[in-house]
Amino acid sequence: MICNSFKVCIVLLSIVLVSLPNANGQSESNRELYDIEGTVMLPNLTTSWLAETVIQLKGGEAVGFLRKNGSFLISKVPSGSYIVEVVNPNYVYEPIRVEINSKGKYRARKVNYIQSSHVHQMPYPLEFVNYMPAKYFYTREQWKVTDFLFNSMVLTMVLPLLAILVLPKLMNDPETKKEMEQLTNLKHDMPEMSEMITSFFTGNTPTAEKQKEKTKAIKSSKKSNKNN
Amino acid sequence: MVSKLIYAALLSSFLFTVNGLYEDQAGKFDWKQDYVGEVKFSSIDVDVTTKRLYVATEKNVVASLAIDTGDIIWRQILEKGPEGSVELIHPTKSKIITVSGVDVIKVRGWDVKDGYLHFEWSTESSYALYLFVFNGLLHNVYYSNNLIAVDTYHLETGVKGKATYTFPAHWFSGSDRCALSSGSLACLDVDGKLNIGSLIKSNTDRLGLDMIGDKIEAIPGSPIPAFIVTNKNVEKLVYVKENKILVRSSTSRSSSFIYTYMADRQYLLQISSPMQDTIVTEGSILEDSTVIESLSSKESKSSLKISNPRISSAFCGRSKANTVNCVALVSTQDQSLMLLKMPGSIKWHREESLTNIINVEFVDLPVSDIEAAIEKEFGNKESFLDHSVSTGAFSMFVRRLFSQLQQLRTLFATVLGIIESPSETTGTKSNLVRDQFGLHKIIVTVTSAGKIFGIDNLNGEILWSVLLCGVGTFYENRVNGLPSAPMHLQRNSKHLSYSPMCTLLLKSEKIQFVYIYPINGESKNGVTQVPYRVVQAVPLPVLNIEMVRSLILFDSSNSPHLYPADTPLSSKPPPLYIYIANPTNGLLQGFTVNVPISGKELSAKEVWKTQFNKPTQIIAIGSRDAMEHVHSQGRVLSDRSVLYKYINPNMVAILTLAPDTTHKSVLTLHLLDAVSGIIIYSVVHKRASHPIHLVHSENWLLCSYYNDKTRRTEIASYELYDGNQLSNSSDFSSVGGSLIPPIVEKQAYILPGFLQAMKPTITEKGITSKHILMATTTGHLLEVPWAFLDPRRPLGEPKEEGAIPYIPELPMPSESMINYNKSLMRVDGIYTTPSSLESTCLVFVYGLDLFYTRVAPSKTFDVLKEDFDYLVIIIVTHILLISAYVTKNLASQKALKQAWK
Repeated sequence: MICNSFKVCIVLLSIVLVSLPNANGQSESNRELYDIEGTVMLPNLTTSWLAETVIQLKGGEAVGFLRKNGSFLISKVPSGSYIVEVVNPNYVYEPIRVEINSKGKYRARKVNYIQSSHVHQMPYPLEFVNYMPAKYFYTREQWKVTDFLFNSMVLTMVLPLLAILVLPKLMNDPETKKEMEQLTNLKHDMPEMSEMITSFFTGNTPTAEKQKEKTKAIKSSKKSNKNN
Repeated sequence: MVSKLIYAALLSSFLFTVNGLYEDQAGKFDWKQDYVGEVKFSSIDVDVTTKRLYVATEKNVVASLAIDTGDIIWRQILEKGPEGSVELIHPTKSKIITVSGVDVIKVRGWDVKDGYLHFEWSTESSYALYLFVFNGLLHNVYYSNNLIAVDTYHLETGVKGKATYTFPAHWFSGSDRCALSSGSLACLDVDGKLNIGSLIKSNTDRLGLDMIGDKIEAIPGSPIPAFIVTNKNVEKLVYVKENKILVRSSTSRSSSFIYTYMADRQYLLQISSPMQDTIVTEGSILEDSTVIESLSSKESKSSLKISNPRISSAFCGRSKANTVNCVALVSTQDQSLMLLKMPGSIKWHREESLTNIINVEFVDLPVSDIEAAIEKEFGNKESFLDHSVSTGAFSMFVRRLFSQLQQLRTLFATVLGIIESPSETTGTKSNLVRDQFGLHKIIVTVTSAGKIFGIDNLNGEILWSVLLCGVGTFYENRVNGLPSAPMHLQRNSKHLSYSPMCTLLLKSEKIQFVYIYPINGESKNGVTQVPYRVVQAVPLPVLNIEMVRSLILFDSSNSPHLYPADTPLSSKPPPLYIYIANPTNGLLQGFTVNVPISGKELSAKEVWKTQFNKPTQIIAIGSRDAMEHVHSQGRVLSDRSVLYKYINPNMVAILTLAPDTTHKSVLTLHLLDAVSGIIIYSVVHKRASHPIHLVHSENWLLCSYYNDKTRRTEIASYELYDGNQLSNSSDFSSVGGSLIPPIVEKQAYILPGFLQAMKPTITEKGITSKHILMATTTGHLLEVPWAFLDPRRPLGEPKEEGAIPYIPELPMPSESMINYNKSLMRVDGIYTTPSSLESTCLVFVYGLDLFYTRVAPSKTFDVLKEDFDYLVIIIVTHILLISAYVTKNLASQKALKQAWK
């Protein structure tokens, strides 16, 4: 019984095996396969660089690898439109779109995701020329003396401090003292503009009036205190 | 237009300063482990200058490993799937040649030293049976018209060799009854005869032998034609030497390898593993079965867990003491790879099954002993219940004294160095205690090889591994055909008197459970069997009295069972609604389950049913993460009104794909309320195809697909709002209240690339803004703020503050690639889990490589920045203090002086 079932199995298998080549032959005749070629400009042609870089077609559906001269080959892809990307961990390349029509004609163009009808032709075989190092990190702010000094906080703290500490020191200098005194004298000589005008209009000496006002004010305040 | 763009660029640059790394942070809290996959073919190069191993793996990887350490020197990843599967490797002096592919055979020559490509050629051959290399020629064997035909190609140039030659092959009995070894084809006849014919030359004699067998296998990598013929569990070694068939008995359950030593002298190396932690090797001379003592050894190592080892390649030499020494590359059924020195030891060991992770869980570590003591004393009510401690004043006082005494003792002990670490008493590794911020966890991973690993998340060290041998098989994920291993963390580390518990569901005749204590990998209760077939397992919202989160298991007749069965629950669970989706027949069913507090006599009632008819296929189901919290209920608009979010915890997203005559394929997204069965919203994407990824979080969804019409990857973003009024102010109800459908905001964005996986970040309280982690095919892990995928990004002038104007293409700045130059190829999934810090989310990416990092989407607002200048703060405060005192004294002195004047 077991033997019989085995026989059946084998017969079936051989039929499948025979029929397989034919089926494939048919599908192949209407599905032509093409190779995509190109070169990649590498920042330096060390061999470890070559091994790190991979060419991906449509997100890795087919891959190509770099040869020593920077050229690559993606073999046996059906006609269609593909995005070819150069993948390198340290450098960024601009991807290129490759279109192979059903007659086997190649066209390379700039990738434009937004306006896919916009054609900006590029040379074929592909040339990946534009690259730039990928900047993965932010640069940390370095501590600098000037940064510290020109900090607004520091400025508001330090300048008044300077004014308090340094200016009285300057006063101790006899020459500057004299100068200062002279300056104050000058001020005394020069009557104030407003006072001049008020005296001119009222005819009273402003100083006497002021004193009167002051005594009045004191008195009134004393009164109010008493009231309380 | 230009100004708008500049504005957007400025905004994006500002926003992107939120994430990203500084250079000195690289490698500080992230790690990456490179793997190659399960080894298929290998070769040892013992040249003193190189000392390399070359391997080709099931993951379509060609790599070179250092023979002394097992580190990867170079690695090349071929095409995905059968197009890139390596069929054979052939080492030459300066190149390693691989033949890969099924329909299109690609031959590539790699540089031995650096791994770059020397040459590549390809040929279409859709019906190759066997491939082998002989004499610098690639032989392609195929079967046509009752003949076995052989095409030859020059291996390095691809030039077709002599005309195709054929053999009469009436004895060819199908590829499953035949095997090819070293250019000779052996077939088991139906009449119990073994035929062996060489395919190297065009006219060779066929050798025959009377032999009955069930199965024939070639010995991999054998220099002479050698086969293992199995007949009713009796194995026989058949080999051809000097045109004669010779038979030798072989011990079963051990794997054989033939090594040619000195011209025509062959050694037979056999390896077996009677137990998980032992390797037994045996060496003998092939012809006369003389045992070579120096090659026979038994090696035991408690940390080792292997099954069915097999020698992939070997190299033997004569030592100074005139004994034969060998090194062998051993691969095992559990997909680990090791270099075995015979006689001697295992030189290194790689766990390649980690390339096939099917489930991941992060488990919190238990608290340290001192903290546990404090917790016991001042813990919350729950832990009082846990420990049944009395709350009397006197006993509290005694306990306080006692614990303080203990703390003092441990302090003295650590200061004096008597006990190295306070937590060593627990018997586990000393550093495995919970840290302050919950950043230190154990990654529990289940691999499809049946091995479970516990990995330290801080450094990636494998802490423990468990090999499930003969326990059961994995379930099959019916959406993608991959094995799936439902794993539930039934008890976490928060309950002090109980150890955490992980449960893994396995399939056998009876469904099986495997318990694992995730901290040390032990399984005390071992395996439990239940007498029904489980189709769905759902954790309950309440714990049982043993602090175990019980599971509700649905059997094939849709009746529920509680597991563990006999333990009553701590409180009555709310009414439960469970849905079951069957991707094979497209049936979706919703059930309500009544769980009594006793945990016995559960009952389920079908509430709703939805059917997706063929050829519509369910391809993905997206539900919100159970751990997720939504912090803010709405969004403030520019006119100060609030747009309330539609947060339906019962909503699931169902993606279906159906072929269409005009649009090729149609992708449909259904938002379904799993309680009432109402379809809240549906949307169709025409001409959408794989790869498709779905993300569902808070009140928004993201669905990425490849648009066949515009030939680009698009991400459709949906956001659901209730409107200006909150419809469910206290709790969301799917059945009660108004059934006004939510407002759906939608927008699509273009992703300039291809996605491998997508996952949102998750934090403990949901206050931190959400970022989306995207793994692209170029190997980058992008961290994109959700604000960029917001469907409410304004098309015209921005109406809301901080809104970024709509630009169809998503920016992909290199600063947001958080894995910097550590490329991640072949990503299978991303796992995110919150830490105890609200700002920080832990990320684990698995696939061919493992990558772990942590991200802070809104920056680390709850901890000081790591570049915080402690020194400046200390100096400034000290200066201020000192100056305050000094000036105070000076002032008092001055006042005194003035008083004396």
